[in-house]
Amino acid sequence: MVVRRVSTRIYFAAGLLTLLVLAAGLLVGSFIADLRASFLEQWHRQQVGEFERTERRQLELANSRSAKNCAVTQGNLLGTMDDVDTARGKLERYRASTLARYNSRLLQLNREYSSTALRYWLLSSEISKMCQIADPPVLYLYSGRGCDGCRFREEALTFVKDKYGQRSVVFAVDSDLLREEEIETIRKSHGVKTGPPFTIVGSRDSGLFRNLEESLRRVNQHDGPGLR
Amino acid sequence: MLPFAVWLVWGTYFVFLYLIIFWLLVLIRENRLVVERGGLIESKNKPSDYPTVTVAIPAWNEEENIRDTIESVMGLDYSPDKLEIIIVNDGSTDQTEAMAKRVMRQYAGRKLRLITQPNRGKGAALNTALQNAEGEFFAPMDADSLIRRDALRHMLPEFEDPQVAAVLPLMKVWQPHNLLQRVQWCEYLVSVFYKHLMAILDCISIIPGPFSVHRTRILRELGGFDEQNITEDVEITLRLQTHHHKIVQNFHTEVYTKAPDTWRQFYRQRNRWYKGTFLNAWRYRKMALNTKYGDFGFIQMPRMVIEGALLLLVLGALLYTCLLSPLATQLRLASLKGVDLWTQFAQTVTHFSFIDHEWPAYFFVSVFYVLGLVLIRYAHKHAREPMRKHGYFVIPFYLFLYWMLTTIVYLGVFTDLVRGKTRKW
Repeated sequence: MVVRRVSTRIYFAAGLLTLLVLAAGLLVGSFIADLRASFLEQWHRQQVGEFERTERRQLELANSRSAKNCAVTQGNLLGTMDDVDTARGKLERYRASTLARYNSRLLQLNREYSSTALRYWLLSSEISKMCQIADPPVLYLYSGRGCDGCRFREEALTFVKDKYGQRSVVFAVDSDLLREEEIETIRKSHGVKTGPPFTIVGSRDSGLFRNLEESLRRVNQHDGPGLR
Repeated sequence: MLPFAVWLVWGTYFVFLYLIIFWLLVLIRENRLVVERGGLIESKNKPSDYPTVTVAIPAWNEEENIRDTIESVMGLDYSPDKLEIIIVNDGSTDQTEAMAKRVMRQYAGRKLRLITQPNRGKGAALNTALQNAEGEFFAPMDADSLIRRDALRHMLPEFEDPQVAAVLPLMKVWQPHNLLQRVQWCEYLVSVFYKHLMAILDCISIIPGPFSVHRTRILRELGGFDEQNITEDVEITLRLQTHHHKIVQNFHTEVYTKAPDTWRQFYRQRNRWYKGTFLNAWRYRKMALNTKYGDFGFIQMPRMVIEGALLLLVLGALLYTCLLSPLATQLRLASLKGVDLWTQFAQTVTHFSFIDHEWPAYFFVSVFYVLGLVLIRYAHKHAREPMRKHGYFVIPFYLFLYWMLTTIVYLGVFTDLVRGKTRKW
């Protein structure tokens, strides 16, 4: 006959250790939550700073436009150009440092760059009209999927660059970022249904260039205020 | 406020975590681990003093395995005049009887008997052998199992402790050749190691069929095996525990059993085991949380009753929280904004962020699996088996996926119980 016993101490010790695991897990959670909060706060402050700077620039631009002061407006444009360079630098540095094709950081940097580039493109379009400038800012919406005409883009971009040299500025924006309302608005306003299109200031029928000949023809025939 | 399903998952998690920690504490506290005990226990008796042993081989449609099993028993390193073998053909409809007779002719002069009876189930076949047994010790041997030659020489010395009523061998899977068998190989080692820990607290809840050795006198006093029981081995164990008999897990010798190699066979076997365990635990529920039965009543009986239900609940809750609920959300969103599979995929992948994850959950799960790995490591060490023997990939499969397979079996068990379905063999 076995003498039965209840190993009370082991039951309690096991319970205590299980509670310790629970407490340690909650501490880890609390630590991560703090990290998350400080990260979000820092991010928020940075975003607010950038927003205020953009707002100031828009205000200055509005003032200079109302005063029809092309020199001041172009000065603002240079400031926005710095933003584009900064955003592109960040994006390229991150792309070089990661093998990931998709992650939240890459997406966020891409959106930041696209947003800045669109802002610059819109601003330069405004300046082209206001100051009668012949330099054509070209918006190139590219896509990573279903990109029938992608093989022509290099030739077309080279052509634009050769034709206008330093006077032309090409903005390459990832049109897969469907959540960017600006991209959607521009696509609609320029009648872009499929990609990759070149959108040139003043043109409302840029659309998709099916082949290089057509794209060159369209660029050559373009008679908007941005080209002479 | 967390959804009920999440509470359920974490509640079950902490129950299982508690059990792992409990058994690890038992391991730490008890300083009589086999490997530290100084090697093998050798009998002090001379061969002429060996007790008589009856090996009972109940067989039902085992024409493919019966020869190997008989030859394995006949090959035991034990005094031939002290070893009796009784084969009980329980109404086989195949060539089991003819095959057994053919093998018996090879061993003329040995104490080898064949009893044929109408099919009445394994419990009845074992009782027939028990009634005819002349040995002081009685060892049932499943007809699909094999033993090492030195089995009795290592197991019988355990009976020098007069409290011991039964001794279990170290059971391993015979030559696993596919993933299912390899995972069962790992499972058997862990199970045997658990039995060792359970034996420390007198908590063993099952004496498996392949070559566990009993004292014949005690079995007869208890009235033999329950013939109506689908898992007579679980029932006799619980009856031994009810009468406070000691059951010991031996690590010095090995018994090999042929594990199912197809899902269908696996399901049928486990369905019978789990159903039998549940039904027997329910039958002996008076032992649960009863101080009269010590740790067996406090840790083992509740586990036997609720384990299957807990596994079912946690699998259901996991399916709901990780699959059904997100799927329903996606479908609802798709109905609002249209279906764009690429965007769905891109959003899923691009939204991955380390900082957004539930790190406490990862922490809890990591602790659980690290402790599980420690147990697996100890199990292999005690069984004198390298973890890499059948490939390291078996370990993660066992840790992460195997429980889902067994939970599916539990689902079948509960369905059968509701429908009143049982099996004899």
